[in-house]
Amino acid sequence: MSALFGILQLDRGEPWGYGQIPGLIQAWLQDAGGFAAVGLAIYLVYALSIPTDKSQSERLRVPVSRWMLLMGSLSLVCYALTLVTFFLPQVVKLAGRDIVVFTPPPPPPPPGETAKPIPPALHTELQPLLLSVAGLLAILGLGEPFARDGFRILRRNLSFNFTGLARFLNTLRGYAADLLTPRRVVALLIALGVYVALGAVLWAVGDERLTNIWTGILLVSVGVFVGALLLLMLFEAEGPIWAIAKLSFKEAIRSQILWIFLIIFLPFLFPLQLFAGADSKASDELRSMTTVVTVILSFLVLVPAIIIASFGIPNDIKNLNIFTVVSKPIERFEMVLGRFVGYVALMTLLLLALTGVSLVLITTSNFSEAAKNETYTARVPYRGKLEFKSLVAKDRQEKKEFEGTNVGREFDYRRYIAGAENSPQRAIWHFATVPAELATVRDPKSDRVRVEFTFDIFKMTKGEQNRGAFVKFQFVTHNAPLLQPDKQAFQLRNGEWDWANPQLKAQYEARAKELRQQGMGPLQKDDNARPGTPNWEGANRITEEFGYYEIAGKEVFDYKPMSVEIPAGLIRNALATPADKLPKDANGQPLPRLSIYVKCESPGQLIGVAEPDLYLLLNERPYWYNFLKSMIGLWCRLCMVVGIAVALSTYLSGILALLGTGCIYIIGFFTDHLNDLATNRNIGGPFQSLSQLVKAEQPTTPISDTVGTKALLFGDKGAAWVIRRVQNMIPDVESFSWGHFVAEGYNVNAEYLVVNVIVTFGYLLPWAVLGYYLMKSREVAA
Amino acid sequence: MAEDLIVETRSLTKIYRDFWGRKKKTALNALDLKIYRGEIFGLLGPNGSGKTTTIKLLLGLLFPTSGDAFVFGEPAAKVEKNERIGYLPEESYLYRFLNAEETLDFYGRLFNIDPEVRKKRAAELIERVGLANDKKRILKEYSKGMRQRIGLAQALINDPELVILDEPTSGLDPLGTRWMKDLILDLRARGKTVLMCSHRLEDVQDVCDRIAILYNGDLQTLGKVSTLVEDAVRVEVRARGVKESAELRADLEAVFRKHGGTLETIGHPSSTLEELFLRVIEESKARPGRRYLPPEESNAAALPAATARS
Repeated sequence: MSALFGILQLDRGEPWGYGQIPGLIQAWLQDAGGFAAVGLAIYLVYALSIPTDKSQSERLRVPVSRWMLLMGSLSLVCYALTLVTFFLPQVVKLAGRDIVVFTPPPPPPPPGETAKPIPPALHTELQPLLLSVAGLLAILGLGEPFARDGFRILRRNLSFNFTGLARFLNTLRGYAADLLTPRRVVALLIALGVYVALGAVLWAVGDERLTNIWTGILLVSVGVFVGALLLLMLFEAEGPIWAIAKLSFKEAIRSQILWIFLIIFLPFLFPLQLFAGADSKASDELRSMTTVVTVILSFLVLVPAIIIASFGIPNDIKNLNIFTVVSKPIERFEMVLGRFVGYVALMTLLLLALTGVSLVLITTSNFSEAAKNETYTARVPYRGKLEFKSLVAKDRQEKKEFEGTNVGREFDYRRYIAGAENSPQRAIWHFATVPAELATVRDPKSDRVRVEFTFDIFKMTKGEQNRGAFVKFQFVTHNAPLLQPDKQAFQLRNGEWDWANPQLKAQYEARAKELRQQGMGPLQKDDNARPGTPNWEGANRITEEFGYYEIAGKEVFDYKPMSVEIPAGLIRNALATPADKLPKDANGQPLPRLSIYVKCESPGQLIGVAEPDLYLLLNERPYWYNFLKSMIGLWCRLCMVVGIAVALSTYLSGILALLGTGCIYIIGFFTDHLNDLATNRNIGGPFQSLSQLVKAEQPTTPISDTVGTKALLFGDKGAAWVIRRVQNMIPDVESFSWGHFVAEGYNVNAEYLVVNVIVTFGYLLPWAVLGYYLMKSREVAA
Repeated sequence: MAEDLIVETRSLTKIYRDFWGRKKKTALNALDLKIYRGEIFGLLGPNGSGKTTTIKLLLGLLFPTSGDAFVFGEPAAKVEKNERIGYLPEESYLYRFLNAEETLDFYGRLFNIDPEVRKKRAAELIERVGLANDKKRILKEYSKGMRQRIGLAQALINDPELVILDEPTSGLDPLGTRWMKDLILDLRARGKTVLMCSHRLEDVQDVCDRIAILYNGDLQTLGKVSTLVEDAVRVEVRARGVKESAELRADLEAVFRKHGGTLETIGHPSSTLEELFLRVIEESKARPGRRYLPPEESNAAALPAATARS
């Protein structure tokens, strides 16, 4: 199993954060707006086919307001204008001003290469703006009846008073009176007594692990019990949604499907070691277990959720229960919402229980120290921007800037720098700014910042057994920049990069000498300065003063997470200069506050690095907390599958809703492949493929430039457009999976989770509108 | 009178179509109907005549192909009108995993009835429909008659002004049928309006004030039951304490001849089977035990003890 978190990050890019929200909203307006425009057109045609002119009932049921017509017309105008922009040049002049009509999207990567998803960004060109406005207008038009009924439903179902609490207490009393019969009370007390006695025995025996399990199970039970009470309290609120939610909750529990599923599959959660890969390395134990647990948890929660949610409404229709419900004064959409809330609530409770049990199992397992050090934590990394540098371009054989060597490994994830004592090649991480919390002064003798890294070593020669490669780190702030060497300087300095300011370097060396005389030798190499020693105080002083530190001869091993420590004084130096006073580079850009230069010193070895491979360690949080946070991603996926299943089940039969939801979710794992299809990337589109199949041509055969081929390619463009629309309906499941973050010991940022929740809401809203219209237009008794 | 008009349909038509929009069947054809406050109105007709379709159109479960339906003056599509309607479907389509109390609580909540009122009303209704001893059993375990009873209870949970009953006596034994009919009459006595449909004519005749007879989706006849079933050309005379004889017959023929008529039949009237059944059950309740003996046993009981032993 790979220990390289970098691969995970590089595969998909950095998860989306707050910076992507404007772009996400714009993309949502365009995509959801497109569907809304089609939906609005279908609705208006449907309304035309209804005798609304003769029947008041039908006019009420299929309302067509002036607002809808107005928004629909305006949206149509905007779409027409957007169509016009496709025939305009990239930039047009209007009233003497240049107006950017569109920016062509970057071409898809060539076949075989990984296509990294492009993070959504706000586009202010004319074409995307027109599309967004058209989409917004269509949403406003189609959404009018939905919003009107939605507000009425909200008003009826949301009451901010203590009535719910009073009802809850009454219900609780009722439950207690019904359930707590003398025999049951005795049975409950005996069970509690046995559990307490078991705890006492474990405590007396002194088996720490079993006692921890005992405590953990107790805490989980209490947590789930409290959760269940809170849910009941929610369900006692005023309004039909809560009544139907409670009904769905009871139905699911009493239908036995859930229990049968859990009885069959829950045992798979326990013998974790069986799945955790007995042949894996000691350091991978926790990693494997976390991965297995998250996969099993997803299965245990999502599969029954899809089954239960798919059959709820269809069974109501099949068993004709729906007659007695929709003949009451409720909106049909309240039934849909009630089902959704009930199933999500039940499965959330199940998720809570299973998460608690899993956490108890993991935290009480015996892992090797190596595994604990590597992954039993939640690191908060602070990442920089990676660039590769060597001799200046004019002095290089290729006559262009060094971009890292490709050794043909792992597609293009990593680039390599060659090792040699006098190697001019550097991998450099630039940090435009540095978090102030790293600069906080605690104790000058141990004040440090940890820099963690995981490198790939590509050996050109066999080297020594069980030895790694040697690496030199140079940490410099904007106050002590290094100079990219030319051939002459390179020869002069024997492969070292020199300070841009030689006088400063002389002062630095003099200061080091001075500190050494004071018993605070500051250098790692010469003085063996280590945190906790007086020398470290010297290191903190000199770095704070000059902004330079170096660590040479660090032995690094292939794919092993490692770290070095640097004096926090360096960060203080980096932060001392106000932003407007930062020195500028040749392009007029401010220099980064901190740069980390990495050089490979071992001849015949290449060090492979990627941007996420090195970072400043901001903080370390507990593993359990990270595990819990990662479950928010699973909860979002739970909401999605329940939402899709309930929306589909308003029109389809249970089995079709189940299949539909399952397909949408599973396709969500293959968004990359879908992306390839949507861009006709690897082997062209379906028409081209069909033509090649008929002609028995290889997929790599160049296509001929004939009218027929052009027609085929045009057809493929149409197919790609359709696939792109389908793509909009498919959730990107991977972006909600945080199991690998936890397994690798990296903190799941709250920012990512907030974006997850926003995206889930944005994804579910169109499904809700679909469910609303389908349910409203359905004759439940036909 | 306008406020007394509870249900009104205007040329209400429903045509069922297939997926492609092709006409399958005209379930209801231009129905014009008015039902007034406080009456029991019966919709009659054979299976497939459009009775249930009419009810479903009134409740908004189906959408009209043309025409309109109003309940309490509101279009049928308006859900708010359902606040004042109680509906018992043909089969009692309730959630079988709930017990009687939970069922009434659930339906009460759909009406947003205050919890205290809901609880009180549910207890009263359970008592009234005779399920007090079975209120904790889930509906799955109920007999058809019991389900019909709890179904009726759910239809009354909101104390409705209009009660719509689709085949209310379906699946009920004669006792249950009598109970249901009494309850319907009781509803009228309380000022409720009842719309029921049934193909059990005797039930309709017993309780309904007015009826409409549908056939193949068309309204065939509409009017007061008493008027519609009255046989205006015949006169019925009943007497007590006389024996049927040729002399009596001759005398009566003479009397009717004098008044310009003819005697058609003379004989002992019979009561209905329902009346007989109810009488037997009432007697059994009063004096429990086996009452009927087969002829052999009756004979054995009549023999002397020694003969019977041998």
